[in-house]
Parts: sequence; structure tokens; C-alpha cells
Amino acid sequence: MKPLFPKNRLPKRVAAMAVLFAMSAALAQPDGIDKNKLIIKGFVDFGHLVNGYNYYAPDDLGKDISWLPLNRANVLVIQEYSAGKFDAAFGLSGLIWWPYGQGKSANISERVMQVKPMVPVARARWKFGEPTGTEASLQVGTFSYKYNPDAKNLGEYLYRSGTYPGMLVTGEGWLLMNRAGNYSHGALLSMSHLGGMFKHNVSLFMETVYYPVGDFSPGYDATFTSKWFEIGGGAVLNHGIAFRPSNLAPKDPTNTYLEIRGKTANGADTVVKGRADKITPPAVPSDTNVTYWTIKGIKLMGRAALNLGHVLPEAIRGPEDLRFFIEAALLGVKDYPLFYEKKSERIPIMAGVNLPTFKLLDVFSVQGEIYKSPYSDGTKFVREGLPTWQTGTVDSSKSTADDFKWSIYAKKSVNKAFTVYAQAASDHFRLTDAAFSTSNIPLTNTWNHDWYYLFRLEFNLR
Amino acid sequence: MTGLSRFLFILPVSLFSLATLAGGEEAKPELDGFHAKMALEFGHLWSGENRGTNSSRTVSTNLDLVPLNRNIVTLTYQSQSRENWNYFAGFKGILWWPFSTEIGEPGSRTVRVEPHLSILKAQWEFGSGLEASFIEFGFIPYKYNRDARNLGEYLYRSGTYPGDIVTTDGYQFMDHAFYDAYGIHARFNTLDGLVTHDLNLFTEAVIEPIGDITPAYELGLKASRFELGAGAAYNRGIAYRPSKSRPVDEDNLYIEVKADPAKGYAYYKGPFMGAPSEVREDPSKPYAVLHRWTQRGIKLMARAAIDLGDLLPEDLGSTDDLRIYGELAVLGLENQPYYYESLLQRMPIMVGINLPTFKLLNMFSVQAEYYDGKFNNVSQSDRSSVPIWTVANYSTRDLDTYKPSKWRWSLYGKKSLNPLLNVNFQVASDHLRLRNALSTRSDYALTPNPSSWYYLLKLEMGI
Repeated sequence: MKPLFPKNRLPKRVAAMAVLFAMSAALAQPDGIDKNKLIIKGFVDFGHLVNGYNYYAPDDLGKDISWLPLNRANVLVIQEYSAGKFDAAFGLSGLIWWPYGQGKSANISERVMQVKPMVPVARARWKFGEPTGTEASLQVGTFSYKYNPDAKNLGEYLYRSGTYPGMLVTGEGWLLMNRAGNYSHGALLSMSHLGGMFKHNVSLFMETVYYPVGDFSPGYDATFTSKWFEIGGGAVLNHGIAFRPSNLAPKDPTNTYLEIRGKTANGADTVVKGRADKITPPAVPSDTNVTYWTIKGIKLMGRAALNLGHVLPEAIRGPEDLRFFIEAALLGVKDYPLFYEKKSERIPIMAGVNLPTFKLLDVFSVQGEIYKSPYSDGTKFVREGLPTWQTGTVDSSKSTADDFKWSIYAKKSVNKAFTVYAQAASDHFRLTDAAFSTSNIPLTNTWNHDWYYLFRLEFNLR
Repeated sequence: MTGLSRFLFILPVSLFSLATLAGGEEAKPELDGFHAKMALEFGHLWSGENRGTNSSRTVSTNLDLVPLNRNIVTLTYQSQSRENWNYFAGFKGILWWPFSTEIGEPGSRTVRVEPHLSILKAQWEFGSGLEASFIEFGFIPYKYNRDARNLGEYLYRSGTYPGDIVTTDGYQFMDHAFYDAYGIHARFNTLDGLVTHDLNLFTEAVIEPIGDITPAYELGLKASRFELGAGAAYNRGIAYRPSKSRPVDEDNLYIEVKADPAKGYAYYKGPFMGAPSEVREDPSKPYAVLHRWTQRGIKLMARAAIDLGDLLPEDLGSTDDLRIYGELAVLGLENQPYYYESLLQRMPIMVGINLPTFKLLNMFSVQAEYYDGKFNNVSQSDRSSVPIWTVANYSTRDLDTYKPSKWRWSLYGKKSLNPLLNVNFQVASDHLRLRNALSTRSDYALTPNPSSWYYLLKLEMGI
């Protein structure tokens, strides 16, 4: 019979997580409900992928996917309530969507309109401190976490982007707008000092999508805000708390990089380098360096914003007008051979401005991004759980077409019940198929050719 | 019309007639209440094992530290019309992760939301005072044994043939020791509430043939210090196509092969699938069919509880403290060959106690279960609706490679911090089965012996 507590496991880590979870409950001692709000919302999206390309399209569908419709409709119900220092929000939503990527010969159920149930939020929060001084809150559950208010579409790299490989994400394939945040599952401790000027967050988010699901990534980010500028920074140890660490760096030949010194059959010195399944060792090997690529790694992020909106006359100024902003991230501090040899190829940089529209719009944001990664195909990571890029499908090392991205975003609140959004972009656009698999290569992979537009009508019914 | 057809026709007519009792000018429902609830669950399968059948052998995968996290949001409306009709409608979304032992396609492991009805029923109350009774119909979360926090509650949620014991639907692991019933339930309280009678007509919702009806009766006796109950369910007693309950599939045949030296056949008696391949492939069918297993069968249940809570000082005891209880069931009264030869192997027994915690917790339940079933693989039952256990090696019944544990255990604790917030925990080695992306349950229970177990913590809040 196996021992009840296996020695080679991670009882301390698991126990710590469980205690944290349980302690969070002990913090709540409300006497009764102070506020109670039921939110009912809906939106309708209309748009098209004007130009796009699917490298993995079935033969009967064709790789050119121009004028692909991008329609969605969503209804959500969220219950919020607060009781003393405790508050909770939880709800359900249903999204009308169309699976993408199936050929004409696919079963009709894989192509027609579907309704996806979702839990947009399910979180509890406890607040501490005083709003005028130091204030803090701890929330647990499922919620959207956003640290960069300027990232309307591009950016927000710290949590939602990968490490090894550094896949950038601007949408998960279902909801196509207003998703520049991290759909987080875990715990977040937020602290605010100096009357809100300095804020920082300690996060412990669980991996919910990519293999291995269930690991936790500890993170920290901080923001200093003044009237004219805002700066922020953060770090995440991706998969830092892994329950099965061996899954992060599989020891199979496709994930092994070898550097073998030795001699050829003719007796000459030689060095053979490469992926274990792709190289032939020297006839007489003498010394071997082995490297396994790993999903685990540190991500760093820095950002800044300059708020020049105050130079505009107040009567014609929107709240976010004339704000210049930038965000950069290092997706993996440590170098590894072959795929991750240069840090400069793991640094996405986003810059943008909110152009003034003289109150015609609430926000009009223009963003651009540069990311000089020679790779953009995440198949190996997404489908096989390997911390490497897929090569051979799209040889972007010879092209800079996928190094640049752009996005234009606008919002107009017509009244309390009705808001209109618009977005046009060539970003990291991915769609989801009927089996919930998302495109491995962005469908807008060529910045000066591929793009889409979307309009959204949003209704606040209650 | 045959007698059966007439009866089956009467069912919907009766249901319709019952519904018309709610009619009339005053019948417009009045909104009574909207209830919203959220549960955040965090836990791991600490030590587990996944077994599956691969060709003619079973293979095992280590499952230690598989995450078991769930977020469950439930929205329920309740309303009332007249004074004696109540209506309940609830919707539930369960945020979950499909179970997989392989990396697989993203869709086989990424987060998803399972939509569920939590309740959808109309209830007509009649009688008054201690003898107030009711009839309800629709989708009903049905529970007869309030002591069964995890183990137990066998009568409806456990199978008959095969006698698969259920402690989870694969999506929800805690506070789900009830049966998701679809049908009619009538409760009659008599003798000032001392004796209760429950009559049920629940339809089969999961295993083919869907829609068969299981009539059941339960008798309850409730006194101040003890509680007794007993019941019987005739599984698929009302079948619209009775032949479907006893499928003619080859894997549902129990055969006898006479020795035939000319053909090289030895004497064989057993499941068709366990016969030599040359017999199975012989077009002359050189065998006699002795039996075809059936899903139809009678389940029996008895339970008892004794409440010693009042021995504790009043200021130190919680409501259910020091309650000692047990439940026993017979999952199929009739023997059938090979899989179901011994009644004792179809009798799960659960015993438990709610230990006093001197108000540290509202409840702390300790349960144990004994079940001497020799099989555990539900692959064919789940996927092909054949009323048999799945076996890889028919000559050994797989007992050479797998010995199902006779013992299961479960600890359950609950603490209400305030009217809005509960904290619950569960640690158990029960009949945990998880679902994959296609909603198929794992073939074997994932905690196959008492030293394999999982834990769960839950924050539950709502208004």
C-alpha cells in the first residue's frame, strides 16, 4: 500500500496554497448586506477579417480567409454585493459564436452557430485599511486582471503572454474586443499607498489553458501615478509553483538540445549542435552538453505613460485624451540555445497615443507594436506542451512582416444604457474551432496586408 | 392499446392534469425571490491512479497532484402563485477542466464552462401543519438521506446492473450527494410527521435507453432520538421498449459452447467476449445463449440514524453533532451470471458519525463504506449502455491485476462564518471519477484504494 503522504511530492507548496485559500475566508466577518446590484448586459459584435491567412487551413477551405465574418452576441448576468469590508461578484454569460477553421466536409455541428456558456467573473474580495492612507484588498476566484489601462488591445504582456515560447495574445478566440486583460484564476493581493498614487499587486494565478494546467505563477507589479505621468513595472515567475516540475521541461529528443564535441571518422575535431532528433553525433563523441527547454521562466515588464491631456481646454477634453504610453516586456530572462538566444528577440514593445476627438468619442486609441521574434507558430507549445516554437510553417526569420502590429480602438458612451465600440487592427488575432483549439499562428500575421474591423453595440439593461 | 401502452399514456395525462391545478385567474406567478450563489473550490487529487483497458490488459497512470479546481455560479428564481403552488427555476455554470492523462489537443484540457440546470420544478402543497405534504415534478435535486454528506445515498444515484456507486457527476465533488432526478416526487407526511411516505417516478437521463421510468417508494420514521428509513426502486420498471434493457449485442451474451474435438473447441461457459476467438468468429454460431444481462432490477435501501447530540451541553453542541448513522443497499436483488453471482457483492454499507467540534465547525462528518464489488470498470456500461462491467481478462475477471478496494472513507467539514459565507472542506477516498473533454467518465474510480485520496476546500457565498 502506498504511503498516505508521498515524500517526493510537494506537500509544503500544496499546504501553503490551501492555507492561503482557507485563510482568505476567515477574513470576512460581515454583519449584513450593504449593497446589492444585479447587472444585466448584452452586446452584439459585427465585423470582418478583411484580409487574413490561415497556414493550417484544411485543403477544402483554402488558406486565404479574407472577408471572414466575425460576428458575436453575448448576454451576461452578474450579481454583485458588498457587506462591510467584504464584496463578491459572480455571474454567468452566454456567447453566440461560430467555430472557425473547419472545412466544407466537416460535420455541420462544427460549423454552425453555437452558444458558449461562460463565467465572466466569480470572485470574493476583502478590503483592509483606510482609503486616505494605506489600503489593501485580497481577492480570490476568477476575474479579469488588468494592470495597464492604456492597453486597449496590444500590450498587457506580463500575464497573458507566454515565456518559452513568447507567444503574444490579444484574444482567446471567442470574445474579440475589450479583452486586453488576463482572465485570471487564483488570488490577488492589491495594496495602495499615498492616497492611491502608489499601487502594487501580488498575484498568484493558475495556468488554465496551456499544458500543464494547474501550475501557479507568482507575480508582482507596481504602479506610480501622478497628474502628468504614470510608470509601472512587474515580474512573473511563470509556472513558478509547479506540481509536476518534470512536465515543464520534458526530456524527450524533440525538447533536447545537444552540443557534442568529438572527432569525425577521419579523426578531425568537430562540434555537433542542434536538437537531439535532428543531429547526427560525431563518430567519436567526447563531451556533451545537454539543455532541455523549459516552460518555466521569469517575465519582466516596464511601462510608462505621459498624460498631456491637461494642456487641452477642459471643455473639449476627454478623460483619456492626449495620453502617450509605452509598454515593454522581456518574455524570459534566461537565454537558451536555438530558439531563445537573443533577449532582443523576446522583447515586445508597444507604444500608443489616445488622440483627442474633442468629446466626439470617449476614447480614440492608436497603438503600434514591434516584436522581433523570428518565430510566430506556437503549434509545438499549444498542441504538444513543448516550450519551443514550431518551425517550417512560416519562415519569418527572412521576413519582418510579422514584426509589426497595429490597432485602432474607439469608444463612445451614448447614454447610460448604450455604448458603441469600434476596433480595426492587425494584431495577434486568433479564432477558436469547434474543438476549442485556437489558431497556432495569428490570422493577421502580415501587418501591412492582414487586418480586421469590429463594431460593438453594448446595452446595459440593468 | 396494450395494458402497458395505456399506462404509459396515462402518465403524461396525469402530469398535465396535475399542472392544470395551478390554473385559474389567481395563477399568475408573483416574483418571490432571486438567489445567487457562488462556490470557489480548490483542491488536488493528492494520490490517485487512472486505469484503462488497452487491448487485453489494464494500464495504469499515476495521477498524483492533479488539480480539482472548480468555480460554480448558480442563479435561481423562486416564485409562488396562489398559496399552494411554488415554482423554482435555476441555472448553473460550472467552470471546470477536462480530465486527461495526456497533453493532447488544447480542447482536451483548457478551461471550460459546463451549463447545468440546478433546479426546475413546480410543487403543489396540500395538507397542513405537521402533515403538510406535496407533489412536485420537473428537474429535482433529490435527497433522502440527510446524513450522506458524500458516501451513501445509494438508492437512486447508484447503478443496478452494473452496481456502479456514484459520489460525483464528474463536475461537482462536494455537497452533491443527491440525485439529479427528472420526474415526479410525492411526499406524504402522516401521524403528525412521524411517518413519511415518498413516491417517485424518475426517468433515466444518462444511460440508454433514455426515458425509462423507475418507480420507487420510501418509508421514513422520524422520532426525536432516531430516524429510520427504507425504500425500493424498480430500476427501469416502466420501459417504453423493454427489449432495449436487455441488449442483443454480442458483448451482452452469456453462452455455452459444447466441446467439439473435430473443430478443436473445448467446453466453455461464460461471456461471449471471453470465448476463444475461433468460436466468436465461427459463422455457424456453435454456442447456446444462456442469458442476456438486463439493466432492469430492484434496488433496496435501508438506513438508520441515532441522534445523541442532546447528551452534549447545549452551548457546546451544533445541530447535527454526535449523530451516528448507517445506510445499506442492495444494488440488484436478482443474481445474474458471471458479473452478478453474489448478493453480498452488490451490497454497499455506509456508516458514519458527526463528531462534535464544540462549535469550532457546524459539522464534521466522518464516513466509511464497505463494498465487496469485484469489478469497477464502467467503460461498456457508460459508452455502449450494456449492463455489464468491463473486463479485459475474462478468465481471471482481472482480479490478477486489479483488486478493487472494499473500503472507502470521507471526511467532510462545514463552517458558516456568517449568513453570507460558508467554508467547507472534504478529504476522501471515494468513488471519484473525472470527465474528459467529451464528458466521458473515467473508466475506473481514480482513488482505487484507501491510501489514494483527494482534498477540497470550498468558499461558498451567496444571497
